[in-house]
Amino acid sequence: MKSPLRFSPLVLSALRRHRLRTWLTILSVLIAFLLFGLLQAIDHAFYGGVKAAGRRILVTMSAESMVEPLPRAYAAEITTMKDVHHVAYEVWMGGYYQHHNQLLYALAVSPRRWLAEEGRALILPHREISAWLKDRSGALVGNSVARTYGWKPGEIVPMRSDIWIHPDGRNTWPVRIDGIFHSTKKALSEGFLVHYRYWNTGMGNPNQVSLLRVKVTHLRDLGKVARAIDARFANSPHPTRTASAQTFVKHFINQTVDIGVIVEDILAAVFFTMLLVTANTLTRSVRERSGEIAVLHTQGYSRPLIFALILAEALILVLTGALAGTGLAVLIVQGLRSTLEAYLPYLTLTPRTILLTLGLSLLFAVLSSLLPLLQVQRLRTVDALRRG
Amino acid sequence: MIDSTPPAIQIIEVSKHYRRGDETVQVLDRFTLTVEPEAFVALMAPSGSGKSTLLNLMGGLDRPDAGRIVIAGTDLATLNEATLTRWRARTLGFIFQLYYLIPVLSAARNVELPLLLLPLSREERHRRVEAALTLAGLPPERHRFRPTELSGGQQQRVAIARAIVTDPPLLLCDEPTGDLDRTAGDEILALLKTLNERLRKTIVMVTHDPHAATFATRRIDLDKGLVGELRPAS
Repeated sequence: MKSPLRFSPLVLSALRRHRLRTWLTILSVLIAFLLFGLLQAIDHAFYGGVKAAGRRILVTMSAESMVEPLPRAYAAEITTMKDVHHVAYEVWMGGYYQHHNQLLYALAVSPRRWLAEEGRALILPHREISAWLKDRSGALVGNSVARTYGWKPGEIVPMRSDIWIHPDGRNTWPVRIDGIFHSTKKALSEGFLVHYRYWNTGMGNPNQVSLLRVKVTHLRDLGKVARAIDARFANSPHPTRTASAQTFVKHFINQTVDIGVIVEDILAAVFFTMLLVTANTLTRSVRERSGEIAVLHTQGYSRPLIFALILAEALILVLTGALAGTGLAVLIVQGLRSTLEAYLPYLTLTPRTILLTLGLSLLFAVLSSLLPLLQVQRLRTVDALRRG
Repeated sequence: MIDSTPPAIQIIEVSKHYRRGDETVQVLDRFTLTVEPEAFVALMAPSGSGKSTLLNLMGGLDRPDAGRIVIAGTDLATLNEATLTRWRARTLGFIFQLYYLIPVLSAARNVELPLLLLPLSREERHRRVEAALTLAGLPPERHRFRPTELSGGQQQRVAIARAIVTDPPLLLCDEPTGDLDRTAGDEILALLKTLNERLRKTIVMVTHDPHAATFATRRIDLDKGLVGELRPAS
């Protein structure tokens, strides 16, 4: 009987007074939250891999540059160090299929070690895993990349690489597809895994690796082990730089562009503009209705109740725009995912973004109604009635 | 038998001044007035003589510099802002020259606004709104019309319905016919007279129109500069 909804016609009447102004304001909020949703999706597309990276994993690479290889012998040496659980290694193949623009996310890995680390995230028949372990020139490929090129198990794929060229000058690395896996990790569904020994033999046994993945025994030892590894090789011909896997992925992305900073800058500008537009709409609306607000006061509407009505007005404005903008962002991201999944497997709007949208909507509704609330606080009923 | 009913309005030695730039304007100076229950009083005075100020003081919308205002036994000086607001909701109905209706709401929705503060069901609110609008003389087919679709006289009828819908004992009217032609104005004044006679509402009407004052049972002339002087109603 005393539901606050009974005031809804009064709140809506304020928004219906200048429909064009109301819709333009909602549109500005919609655009702000559409951009917010899209930029959050892009941010997640780039940094989603950071979170997916193992927390107890350190990545050791050359201190000189990311493309400078390290001796494989480092793996054995690091394994003997205190608080180290195990060490895996890999070589970035820089592979492509037929054309340079058909890049393959190809890694040469130590198969058993790699499967021990990531195997739980793979879904494929056991016989295909067994076949790959026995087949030195075999490959396991993610379902996404297999679907893109129409590959089937047993097929020979002539992978090429401009980074790794055989001593005889060939740049082709033919591999047999031993298995096609689905994965719970999005990035893995683009994976293309070959044996480290296949690469090492093909290159004339240089026994080098692109990087080492060091799993520590306890998370608390992460920093200590990283410093110990770098100290161990500081005076060697190949000094190392070790960081957590999450830091490594972030650093790798930020070498191209700091997406986080760009996203934050754009959003700050967009939200500030939206806040000005919404606050202006509410302020003008309250100023135009000062006589009516005064009459509500004569009818027994207290100032706190009038504050609540204006806040409700702001909430409707901001929430309508925010929900519409976020809904539109979801549709656009879903549309883009089908075409960009190969390049941006983490492109998605997360539940965190949706919650953030709701939180920001409430915050902006409150912020944008501060000025109108101040107007009402200062409004003298007698003066408002006299002005008409 | 002694009648213990307190006066509807007691204004005791009330003073009020305003500052206009560097100038101090004394609009009420030790003004005293008593209005009995169920009276229909016309406060007559030219513009700027303080009659609207007096009405605002009676409605608790403004506070006097000195003196006391007692409405139906309640001294307004003893009420804080929140209590005063609640008191106003159940005691007073305001009627203004400019109606102050919300243009995007129907006549019925406008009249319903004071009822939203009361613990009433939707059906009960609807019943009271229809009764008030009917009593105010707005044809039923116009109850769903918006104010802009109504004439000035009909808009003032809606404003009167809004003022009486909570059944307050006291109506304060500030130039209720000031924006209407003579015919529409007379209809509104006749309506106020009916509310006074049949529903026993105490009505205080501020006007500068001597013709409007003839509908009241008592007329009070406020001379410019102010000291209240009571004269018999004409």
